[in-house]
Amino acid sequence: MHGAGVEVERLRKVFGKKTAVEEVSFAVELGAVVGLLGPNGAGKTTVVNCLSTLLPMDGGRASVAGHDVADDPAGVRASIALTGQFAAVDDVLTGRQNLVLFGRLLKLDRRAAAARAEELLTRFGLSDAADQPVRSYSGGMRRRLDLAASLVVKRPVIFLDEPTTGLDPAGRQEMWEVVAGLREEGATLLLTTQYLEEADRLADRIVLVDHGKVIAEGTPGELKRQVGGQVCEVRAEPREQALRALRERLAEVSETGGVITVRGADTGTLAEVVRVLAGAGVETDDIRLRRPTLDEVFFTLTGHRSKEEVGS
Amino acid sequence: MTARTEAGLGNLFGQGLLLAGRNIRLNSVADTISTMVIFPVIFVFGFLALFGNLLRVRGIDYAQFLPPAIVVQWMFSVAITAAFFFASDRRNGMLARYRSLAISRGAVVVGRMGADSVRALLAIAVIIATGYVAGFRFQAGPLAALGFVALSVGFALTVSAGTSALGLVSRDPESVSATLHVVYLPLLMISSAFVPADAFPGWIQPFVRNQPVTAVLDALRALADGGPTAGPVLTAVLWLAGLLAVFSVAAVQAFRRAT
Repeated sequence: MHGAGVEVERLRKVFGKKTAVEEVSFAVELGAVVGLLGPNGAGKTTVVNCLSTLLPMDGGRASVAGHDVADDPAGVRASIALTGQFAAVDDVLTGRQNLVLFGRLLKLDRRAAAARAEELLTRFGLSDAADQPVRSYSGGMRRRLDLAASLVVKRPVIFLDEPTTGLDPAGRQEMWEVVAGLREEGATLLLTTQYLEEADRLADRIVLVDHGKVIAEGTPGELKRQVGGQVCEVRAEPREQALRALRERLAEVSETGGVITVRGADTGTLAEVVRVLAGAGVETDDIRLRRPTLDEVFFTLTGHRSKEEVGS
Repeated sequence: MTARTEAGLGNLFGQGLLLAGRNIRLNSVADTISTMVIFPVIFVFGFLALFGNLLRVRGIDYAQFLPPAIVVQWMFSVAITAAFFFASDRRNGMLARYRSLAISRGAVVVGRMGADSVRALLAIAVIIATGYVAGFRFQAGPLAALGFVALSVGFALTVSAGTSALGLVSRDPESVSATLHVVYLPLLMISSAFVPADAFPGWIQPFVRNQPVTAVLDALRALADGGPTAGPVLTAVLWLAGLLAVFSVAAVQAFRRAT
């Protein structure tokens, strides 16, 4: 019996000439929540599709709940709950009908399927809409029903592929609460996301992927520390003058949206910034020291920004 | 635990039946009364009004000649709808979900075939009933009539296997449907569906006479009208068996890759 919920070693997947996943290794321990974080096209969904036996791997090996993905795909399927990128529920059926159908497919009898549907609808805040067709649901409700559908039969490992992509802030917030609830219950969860904030909030550990490769791994705190030091943020007028003065004396000074940031900062830097700005005759509106965001971690490690907001 | 919900014929048919039920519920929204009932009625009486008198001159009882053609047309429509639903199931992630569930690997296929058969039978019933009003009769007894229905459904399922292969590689139901119409309309028009083969210009008659849609139509008419049935039915069945072999390989390949 393996100790790990999910073990992935040198997973590789190629589509024709395109290498979707070059080499990805990571593990999700039992009871842990691991976030697979990366921009669109990084290969996250392909990894999940391989792990859930939807796609054959072209290299490496993987196991889920002790079942080898290549040798025992049926064992894997009986151990996973997959919530894919799309809210895969039937529009014309009601929320309850959707859940009952999945229960019946997995051999719950009529009564057990109905009871389990009721339980999940209540738990995910869908009781009021239970008997409405899904087409009348909001995006957030659809996603919660989708997650409920994957949990109709309890499974040791849960895959959540981009659970909040395309949701409005309220829908995202509700989804986060639901996932946080699963986490508290001790679920073993592999989550993919392109939202840094989401990984930061939900995951115990983050695996950062880009172009089909793992580029960093660690707790959110560890990843932030990899960037080194803290970030000093300054708002000052006139801005151009402040920027020029700081650049003369300090490295890694940049400016976005009216805010000047100095990286690799510590408390000494703070004092230095104040001194430089005072010397330049610039009026400082606001100055603070903070830990770098995951977006900055991403930028440091990959040389390009992650997708903070994606419309589709 | 794993074998309980995936392996065995019990699961294949049990889960297939559940999915057929789901497909029919989905279809019943798309299949309004107009497409399932009113359209066939319009086609039967419309073509009868258009060509009935013209073909009487050639000694053809068009009320007897036409209904098998409308049946074949509707079997195509059943198959195109199957492709449409596979493509939309793929687009909205249902197919990936079913494939990731610990259910019988063939349940989705059985579910599709079950739903297609029900729709085919419904269409046949409506068209034949309309035909009876117009003057169509099964003249070779109940067994031949049963053969007529079986061959029609077999044709629908065979074509469905091919259209499904296309539906499964696409995520765009509308374009799949449009593409398939471009293929099926000429196949139907340039067959013995609406006029006999000898009414076509000489250069195209070899195609008309030797293509599978004509083979199926000839067999259906033999089963409906009486007379020698073994030859035409055998030709049609061989065509369907050959096409089914090719189509199902393509469909299974497409199904295994659909995420």
